[in-house]
Amino acid sequence: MADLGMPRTRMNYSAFGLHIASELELPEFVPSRDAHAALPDVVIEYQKCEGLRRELSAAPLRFDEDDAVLTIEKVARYRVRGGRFISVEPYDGATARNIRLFLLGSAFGILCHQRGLLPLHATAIVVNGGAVAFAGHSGVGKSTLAAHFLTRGFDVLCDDICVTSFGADGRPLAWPGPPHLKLWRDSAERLGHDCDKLQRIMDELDKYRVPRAAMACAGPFPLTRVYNLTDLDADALADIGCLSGSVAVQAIMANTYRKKYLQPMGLAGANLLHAVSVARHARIFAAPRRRGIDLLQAESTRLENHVTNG
Amino acid sequence: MREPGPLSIDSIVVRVDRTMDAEVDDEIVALNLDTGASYGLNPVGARIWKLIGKPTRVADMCTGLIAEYDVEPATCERQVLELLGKLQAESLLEVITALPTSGH
Repeated sequence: MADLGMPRTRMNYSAFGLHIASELELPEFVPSRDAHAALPDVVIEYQKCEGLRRELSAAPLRFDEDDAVLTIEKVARYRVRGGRFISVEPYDGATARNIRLFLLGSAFGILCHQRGLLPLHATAIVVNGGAVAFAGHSGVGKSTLAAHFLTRGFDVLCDDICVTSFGADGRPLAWPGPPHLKLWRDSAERLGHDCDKLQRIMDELDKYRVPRAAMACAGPFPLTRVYNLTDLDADALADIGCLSGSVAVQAIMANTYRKKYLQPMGLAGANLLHAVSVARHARIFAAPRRRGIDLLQAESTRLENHVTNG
Repeated sequence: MREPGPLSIDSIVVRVDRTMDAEVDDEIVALNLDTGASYGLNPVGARIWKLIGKPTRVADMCTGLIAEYDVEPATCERQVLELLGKLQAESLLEVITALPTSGH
């Protein structure tokens, strides 16, 4: 572990409207053009997560007001403070890729919560100047759906984490994420990519970081629709339906990224209010999706028709 | 005197302190701040939720609801106890005292 004697080089990145200065190289993020801009919004450093004894931190999560420590066994400990600072203490032998996976996933999710942002567990596209988000649990097919919309000529705003801020009037704004999709081998190959030339997102998975072209307009965009994707048996029938009232609000709460962190962080109430704001200003839909590789095209087209005509 | 008791028509119930709620249209989402669990309430449930903001005897609540919604007393009692039971299971309300039927 490097000593804190000399100031170390930081690289500047831009993501979700945030200027990020990082000692860790983050090839997933876009290098920031304004390297001489004012203070960064977020600083990421290597550091020992001081003040903690290993025995106490047996629990994977520890929270204290605006100071959270997340421990991922065999990878790293991440300390996220005040929505502005992330300290990373890697375990011996952890790969840079795995360290980044949890840094840009769970640790970044905690950062968003601390900043008063609403990270949705969603992938979003741009339709008529607004953001349309497809939310759902891991594995429901958000990224694969985004790949479909890419082939159909839509811009993809973000993949897996849709960071939403709220204006003074409570209107939700969705911010552009890093320009890639996380796809399994078959989806990546369907987009014409050679996976052997791509980076895996995690050492042990056959899942890849697939670059996508930059969008014509940088955004952010008003969040206009949220589709709550759920699984359906292949032989079942269910229409895409409009949600309202308490059901709509709860759908947003259920699709909040890393929602299990909210109550320990004392942010469950804030999340409820965010969810109400989204339900007030965006149309929320239940979108049950039939599983099965042979139904993928039909289900994606069904959703696309609703997005453009429904 | 606070003691947990079975839920009945004579119970006095109240919302747990550590709850929060938000109105959406004429529905309410109630949140237990300690567990993070949320519960959706339709317009009638929302009405009941507002009534139990202060300690309320279930029987008195039913009397008011029967008049307000023009519903059969037995049906009202059953449905109210069912909803209150669910709220109790979610730790959103508590029974303060359970009074014997004969006294008060």
